[in-house]
Amino acid sequence: MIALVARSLGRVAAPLGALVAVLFGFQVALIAVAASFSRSGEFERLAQIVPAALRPALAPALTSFGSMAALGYFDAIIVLMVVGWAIYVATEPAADVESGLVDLVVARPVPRHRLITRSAVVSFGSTLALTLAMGIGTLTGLWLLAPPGVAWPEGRLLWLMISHLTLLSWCVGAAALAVSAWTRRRAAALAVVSIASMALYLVDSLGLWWSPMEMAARLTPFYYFHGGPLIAGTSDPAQNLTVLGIATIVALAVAYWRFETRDL
Amino acid sequence: MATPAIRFDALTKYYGPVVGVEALSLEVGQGEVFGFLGANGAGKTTTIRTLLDLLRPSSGSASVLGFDAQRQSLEVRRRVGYLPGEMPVYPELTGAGYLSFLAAIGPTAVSTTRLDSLFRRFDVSDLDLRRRMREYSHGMKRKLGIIQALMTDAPVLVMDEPTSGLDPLMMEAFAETVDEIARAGRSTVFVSSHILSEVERLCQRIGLIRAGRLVAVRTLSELRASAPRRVTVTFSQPVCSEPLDACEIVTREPQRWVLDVEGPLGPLVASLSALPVADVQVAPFTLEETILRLMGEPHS
Repeated sequence: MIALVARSLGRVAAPLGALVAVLFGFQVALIAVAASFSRSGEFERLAQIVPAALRPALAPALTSFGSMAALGYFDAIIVLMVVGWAIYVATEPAADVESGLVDLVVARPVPRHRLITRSAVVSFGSTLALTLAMGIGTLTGLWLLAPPGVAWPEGRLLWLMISHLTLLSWCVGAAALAVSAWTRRRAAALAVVSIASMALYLVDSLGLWWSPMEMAARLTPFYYFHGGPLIAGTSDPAQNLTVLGIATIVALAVAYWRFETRDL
Repeated sequence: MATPAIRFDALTKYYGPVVGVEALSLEVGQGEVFGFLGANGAGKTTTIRTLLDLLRPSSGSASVLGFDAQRQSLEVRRRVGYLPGEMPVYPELTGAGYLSFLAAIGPTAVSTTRLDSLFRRFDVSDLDLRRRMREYSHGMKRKLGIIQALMTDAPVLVMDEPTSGLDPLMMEAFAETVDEIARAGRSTVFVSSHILSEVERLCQRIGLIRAGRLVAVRTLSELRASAPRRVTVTFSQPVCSEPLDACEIVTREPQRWVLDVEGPLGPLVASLSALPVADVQVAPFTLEETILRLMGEPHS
């Protein structure tokens, strides 16, 4: 198992390292921007210029230095980057089938489920590495750049942001693992899960602005991670994390079942 | 009676409406070198991949050394060294890294002495082993593939088109290795191929598969003995009598018959004695022609 995980990690080490650096750097840069706004007293004005439709999601993050430091965890691009990474790594079983590497591995006494476990470990582990790198980036930025006397974001808030983003990525990654346990082409698995994720993200965004879509939005994993309500303290983190965790477990179970029963 | 090394029992695999393999039953004894011969798409790879539980049969079963390929697949895979038909590689790994990885997930520790002797035999240098596999030629990848299949000294070796892409020297090195394995009698070798000369050089017994069905299983000596002969009879004047029923007529002209004859020639010679024969030429079929004939028949 260790050899399988090490091999998979070896294949993604370079892009993972680059992504860690980008996300770490972004968090540090965000603190620098927040420090600049704080020094020039722009936070109140900033919250007012956010369009009304986006206020529930974004405005709470733009009211203080502490809350802006958390913005980097739920910015759409950042969320989709982290989720996209989880999807890419989780489609490894399909890539193994496509390239024929599965023949070499499974022809040895390696149970099939280990390939799913390996990809889950690498997808979940590397996603956790990304979100932890973001957390370290935030703390580094705060230590280096926070103006004296401003309130830092609460540790609990940072922890909630990291845990929500991590679990959201795991949930989508597990879905990607399930799809890749079905397909013979990595590109097919990537396309299906990426397009579905984008569509679900849009459904969730529409649900924020338009109440008839809210019920549909509840069916998307993105519904369970909105940074604004977390900052404002109006969402239920335990419920969000439970829903995301259960969805992750269900998708993983489907992946194990399908890979065990399919032709390779 | 000893447990067969490999056994297929009415193995059938359909890909939707397409037949992969149908009702294939076959036994390969321990220590035997068996050739599985068929055209591209005949079902060789499907059969092999079912043996390793990479494919699940539609019906029937396969086993290795008495272990069921599906229900006891880990036991099967502990005992098999496998060379896939298409050699997959991790392009970013060096040759040494590739073999180390495969050894790490393999059933037993790989002896350095064994590896070194394989490197020497297949002319793989330290420099080759330090290069990344993305730089390897097809033949070099194939050599590494053969080495990874042989490195654990598995009791059953399953090799799908093993010499595809190898140069003649390496083909000979491979053949010598199989000869040694056969002489030692410790391992069974199951080689699939569409190249008759390869199978003829390596194997004691041959199974012929066509369109997913096993059409014949014979030893090489049986095949040679059963090979028909092509008999060309020239007459000094036109004849109107019929050749024997046991002969297959290839061409029939008034003064010349070309016949394919299986078995003894005595009855034909006797039937010709009353005719104005000017000349008789007898040419034996080559093994290749014999096999092509078998492959062309619906059943044998």
